[in-house]
Amino acid sequence: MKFSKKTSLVLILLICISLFVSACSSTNEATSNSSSGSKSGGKIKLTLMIAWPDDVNGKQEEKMVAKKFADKYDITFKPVDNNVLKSIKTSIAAGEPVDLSFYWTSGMGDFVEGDMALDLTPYLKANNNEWMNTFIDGSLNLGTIKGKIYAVPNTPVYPMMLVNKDLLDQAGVTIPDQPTWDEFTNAMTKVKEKLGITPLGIQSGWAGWLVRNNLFAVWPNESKVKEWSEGKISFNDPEVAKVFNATKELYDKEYVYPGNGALTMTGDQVLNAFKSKKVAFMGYINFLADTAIKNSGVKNVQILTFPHMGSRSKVMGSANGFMIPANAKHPKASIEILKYLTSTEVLQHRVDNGSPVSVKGVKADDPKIALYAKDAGNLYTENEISNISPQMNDYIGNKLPANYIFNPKTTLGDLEKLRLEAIKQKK
Amino acid sequence: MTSQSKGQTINIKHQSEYPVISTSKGRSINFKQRLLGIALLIPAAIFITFTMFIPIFWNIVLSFADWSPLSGLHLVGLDNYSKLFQDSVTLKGFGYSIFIAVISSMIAILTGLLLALMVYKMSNKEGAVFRLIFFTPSMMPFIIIGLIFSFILSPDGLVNQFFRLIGLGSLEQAWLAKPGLVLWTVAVVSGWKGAGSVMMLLYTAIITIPASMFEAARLEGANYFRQIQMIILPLIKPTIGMVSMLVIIGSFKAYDIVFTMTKGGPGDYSKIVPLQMLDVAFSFNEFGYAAAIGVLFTILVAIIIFISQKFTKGDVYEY
Repeated sequence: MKFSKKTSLVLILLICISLFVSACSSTNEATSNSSSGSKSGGKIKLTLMIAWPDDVNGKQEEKMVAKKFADKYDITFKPVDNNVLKSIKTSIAAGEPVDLSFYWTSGMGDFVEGDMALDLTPYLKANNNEWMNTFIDGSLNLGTIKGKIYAVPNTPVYPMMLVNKDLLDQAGVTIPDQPTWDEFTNAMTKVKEKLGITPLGIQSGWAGWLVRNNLFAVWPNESKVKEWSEGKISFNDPEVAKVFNATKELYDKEYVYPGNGALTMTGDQVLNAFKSKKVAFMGYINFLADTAIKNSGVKNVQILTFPHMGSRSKVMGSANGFMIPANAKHPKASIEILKYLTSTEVLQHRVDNGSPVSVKGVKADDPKIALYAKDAGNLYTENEISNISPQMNDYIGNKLPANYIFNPKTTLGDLEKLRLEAIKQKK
Repeated sequence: MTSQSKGQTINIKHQSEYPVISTSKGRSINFKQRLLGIALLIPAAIFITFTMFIPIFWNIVLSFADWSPLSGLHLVGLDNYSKLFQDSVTLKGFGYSIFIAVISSMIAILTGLLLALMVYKMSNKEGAVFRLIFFTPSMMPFIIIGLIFSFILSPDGLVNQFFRLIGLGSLEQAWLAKPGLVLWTVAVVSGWKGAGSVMMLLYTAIITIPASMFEAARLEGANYFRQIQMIILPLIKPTIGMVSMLVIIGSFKAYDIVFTMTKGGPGDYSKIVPLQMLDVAFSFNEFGYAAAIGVLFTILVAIIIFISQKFTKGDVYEY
């Protein structure tokens, strides 16, 4: 079909006008009727990011929230994934923040640094600390920065060691429930010698615990731990090198499954190795331990506190919890849902499914729950050194122990540089 | 100049590339054609302006500033750029990006060329089957390729198991867990994926060469290798140049495959510039610094493309 030039010009003009009008109208819609926090038919529209795709408890909580607030809010759920930090920050930067999100309470420095998190303290302290008093003593400390609470916990999270007791019996090895680092490495040496297997399995994303926990434990007293957590001790300190070298030794001696290539192991690969008796010890996370043990099929499992250097058997830890972006469109609605998510009504079902929780008033009939939560009151309350800056958090969380294993000197130098920069920024 | 017939005068005003005949409205057809052309381009121009030029301009402005979504923009001059040259992690990232881009491009171009030359010699049906086989990886998303190869290259994966099976256990490696080796591994996988597209583009160029040239060469006793040397390569050199440019540009954008296979690990030994930019922006809240990294990376890519064009420039033959 041939158009005359006049017709072509008119068509083009119409296309340009329609493009312009649709762009303008979609911008207006975005301002007055955004996907997050807008109203639809009288109900406030909210976007929540509270559950991981494979978290059965989280999915159950989504259903409970949807049902409870069906008359009041029009809720959309987005799944949490390993890029949760970037997802939240992207939504904040775009002016379309999620209304409530999962996050680790000890990691709130990532948001507070850029004034991106809502201060929850006034809401927690309202009505004579009504909401605050529902939490287990000390559990709100991890989400507290400079006296303000930016995240609330629902599940204490800390590392533990699962042990195939049958393999240990085969190797003629015993290990106490709260092993020191030496007891742990001696047991692994005997297992490797007697059974010929790589004794320890730990996925690459969690391998940093081997360093991080000992960076707390190596100090002789609480005041030193506090100094360390505030970034006042240099990474050139011999105690720090001792910690890093202890972990490097495990990899150099091929104690970590499968030996060569241990730094790339996924969670499934490690779990399969535990299931197939290729490892005797498996570093795991407490609130998923019940599922891991059931999936592995290993019947005789001993649960150990994560091994520690020094004399203190405390464990580094955090909590799974929730935060609200500072520019959330309807903070009161977000708070209402958050209160419900941290209520005994919701968290009781987590306990029933074998997961420990951070609130009082829940009942646990299964005695194993006590085992998975046995160190919940034994956590270091001081912040990790990684909290002094987002760059330190990224380095310690994502680059250790690999960087130290391949280049020890440069790694300590990099970390020291980051520590000094963080201290300079804070001044 | 006038010509005259009975009762009629036609004025021919002047000669130009497009003969201009004056109309009753006094406007030239040339002007109208230009106006029409511009009008037809306006929708595309608007689209490109809003999706490319404005974001690029904003990024350049942001690279000279400190910006937070909640506190706004503050200009900081060249601070972000001077910070970049002192940031060893980012500078290493530039090195890793260049390494992966150069190696994967070389693999893609050389392999693609080899495949195109081999496929050209096959019969139509056979050639079609093999073209499909070799082109299939290019059709798959980088994420899928990355996931598949992270399994194949894991310590207990297909590659190491194969070496074990054929008695070459000494060749087993932690392909994605050793500094240095991880970059080669990612580059090879990325190059393998791109070879199919290169093959198709070069094959298309080869089939446009007149068959008479090959016949003449055969009559003079030239074998296929000689024909490649004397006929095919010189005649498809402009296409090789264009393909090289496209492959190099694509290989510098290798975010998906690196993220899926290594996430920048082990440690930060494969943390290429796009990964570092994302961390700087969304983990460290330094959007201005991330923009500066992006600007410098763009300049670097432009320089490398310019250099590669110089190398692949050659005579253009008409046939």
